[in-house]
Amino acid sequence: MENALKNHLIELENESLELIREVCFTNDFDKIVVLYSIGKDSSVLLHLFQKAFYPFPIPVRFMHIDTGWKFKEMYTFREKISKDINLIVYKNPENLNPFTDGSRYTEIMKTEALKQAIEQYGFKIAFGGARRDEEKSRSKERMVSIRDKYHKWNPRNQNPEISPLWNTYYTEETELRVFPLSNWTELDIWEYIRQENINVVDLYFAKERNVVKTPSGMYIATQDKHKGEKRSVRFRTLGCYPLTGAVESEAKNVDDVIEELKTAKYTERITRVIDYDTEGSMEKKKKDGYF
Amino acid sequence: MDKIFSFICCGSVDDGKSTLIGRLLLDSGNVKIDQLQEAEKISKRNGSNRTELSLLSDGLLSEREQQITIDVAHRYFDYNNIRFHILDCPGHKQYTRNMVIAAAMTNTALLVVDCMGGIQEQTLKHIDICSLLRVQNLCICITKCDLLQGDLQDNPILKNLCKKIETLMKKYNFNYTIIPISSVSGYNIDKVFNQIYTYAQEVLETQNKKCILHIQAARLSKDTRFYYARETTHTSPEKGENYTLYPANIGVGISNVTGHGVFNIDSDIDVERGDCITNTPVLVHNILKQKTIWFNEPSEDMLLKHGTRIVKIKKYTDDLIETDDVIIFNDIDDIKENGFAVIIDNKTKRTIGCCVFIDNKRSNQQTTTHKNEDESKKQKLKSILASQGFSQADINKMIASIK
Ligand SMILES: Nc1nc2c(ncn2[C@@H]2O[C@H](COP(=O)(O)OP(=O)(O)OP(=O)(O)O)[C@@H](O)[C@H]2O)c(=O)[nH]1
Ligand SMILES: [Mg+2]
Repeated sequence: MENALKNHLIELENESLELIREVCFTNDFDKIVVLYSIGKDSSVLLHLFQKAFYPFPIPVRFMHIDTGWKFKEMYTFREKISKDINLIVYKNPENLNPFTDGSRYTEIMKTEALKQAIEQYGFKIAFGGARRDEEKSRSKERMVSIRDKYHKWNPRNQNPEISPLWNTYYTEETELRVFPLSNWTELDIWEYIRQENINVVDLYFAKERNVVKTPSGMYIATQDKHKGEKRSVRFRTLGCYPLTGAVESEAKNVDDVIEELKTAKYTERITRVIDYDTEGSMEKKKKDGYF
Repeated sequence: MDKIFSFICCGSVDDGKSTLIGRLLLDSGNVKIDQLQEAEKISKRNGSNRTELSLLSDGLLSEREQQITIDVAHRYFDYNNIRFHILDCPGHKQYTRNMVIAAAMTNTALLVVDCMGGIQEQTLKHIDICSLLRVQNLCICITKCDLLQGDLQDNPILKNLCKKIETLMKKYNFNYTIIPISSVSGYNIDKVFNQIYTYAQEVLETQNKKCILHIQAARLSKDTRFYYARETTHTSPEKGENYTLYPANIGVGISNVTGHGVFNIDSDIDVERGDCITNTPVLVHNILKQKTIWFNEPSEDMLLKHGTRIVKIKKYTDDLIETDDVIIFNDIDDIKENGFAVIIDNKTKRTIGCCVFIDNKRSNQQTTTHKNEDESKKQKLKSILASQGFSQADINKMIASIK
């Protein structure tokens, strides 16, 4: 049967491409930015943007909100990618430290930084690679989500959204966050990476790395601070290295990762201190303007 | 996984929608340890002596505190090679709009009815919405059957409720079944799985060959025009196929397909955003027979978005909407995906209504404005000029001067 060849990834891809184009073609390219975090979801998002406008180049800018505390492999990867896209790198000049500034660090270096950058460049629409299956408050998110002029999310004040008749308007009072990967799962992301041969940072694959075990997780040992031990680990999500936990794994390539995920007992979020610190913390951060 | 099948879970407040979704996720092995641990922790804190499975679906803090669903939750599970996308709707009256939007996106609903509470006002409301939005399959789950005493086979409460539901269903056109269940004990949950799996197979097998392309943009590269389109019926065009361009009503051939929804046509006709290229009959009107579900009060200045077209609403009554330009659509009974639109307040730019097209084909009225005919003549002229080697810019100038 001809239809049997068509797997669910094609359907997911179609929906994402249609959303990307609908938002971009109904608004000024200059007002649009794609938030690019260097992670796997961002890699997929970038690939989808390339496909959405093919054979033309991507007409909108990308932006990385840097904290200065990303893994060094991520900076190398960014260097490479920045040749293909129009990439803005923004870093909050306040320069807080995740080891000493605690939860203020995320607030200032990520949430505040994002708001500053959006204001500085006059963006009204920001695409992000968030997925509904990532976290419970995200499972309530629209594909086109309204933020007020202070960039805040109010879950009770969203448009009734009939996908794919997305409402792509913003006003002086509002701006938009757009999530083309809304209906993808972590496994979908990896199967798509395999199918489309998409490049991702090596940290997603298992290797002997020098790590320190703590009650809140397993972290990369930095020479000056800790003495670590060698373990075969990989990362399920990427962020700032002091806040991103590794998982023990033997998955050395995309095939292995997919096999591992099929039987994974925990969600990817447990490796991120930012989402997991208290109940509802992602919802609170989103209400403050985090993406 | 071959396909994605989405369905909603609806019914009156507290009748057990989110708990049923939680049970389906759990029994299909789609709940991770940390998610379950969290639900256990909150249940304990809320003083419950069992794990509230609704917490697996209710994600907002206020939902967890008030133990009601406010907004639709999107959840996914894989079962027998099909990806299921569940939309867990709120039952509360205040949040009915969120149920409407979910119903517009699917063919199948789980409708829950509490065995003790029976049919409520909100149950009826949801049934009406499902009917208006042409949700065909209704799997009616009578929930909380663990609270009934004795043998369920001839329980008077259950028998009575089934009878009532059957009588009610006579008024509608649904393909329905009734299953008594308990999400707490797991009773008959396998039957629910089987039923939605059957619906999924039916729906996924009747994939149509109708292809409706709503043009998102046209872009010119050297001499080639590329068109980007939304595939409204999830069917892609193929090279060599013959289609019709609307509103111009001109035949065009697909000369190449370069990506999803990206293609070229074999003619120089000027196609723009909002046009529609299709291989199936569509209606092209600016007076629309419809029923609108309003989320907010209608305002003075409203837009209607359908396909990739946004037109102004000039007049509206309960049954008719007149717009300042045609839209290219179908009745909801013909092609559901092309059978409804959203209404946007032009001032606030918020979505304020969902408009369903009904009976436009049958009524056979002369509703289309002359603009449409002019458009068709203009296009024909353009293609003649183009075939004579005039540039697009010159053609546009000439056409403009004719007026
Ligand atoms: N005994 C019993 N209780 C149930 C069952 N299903 C749900 N409940 C209880 O009914 C209450 C409401 O359940 P929910 O699943 O939150 O109801 P809902 O329909 O999602 O409610 P809204 O989304 O707010 O409209 C909760 O206290 C559940 O524990 C069941 O099968 N048996
Ligand atoms: Mg609920």
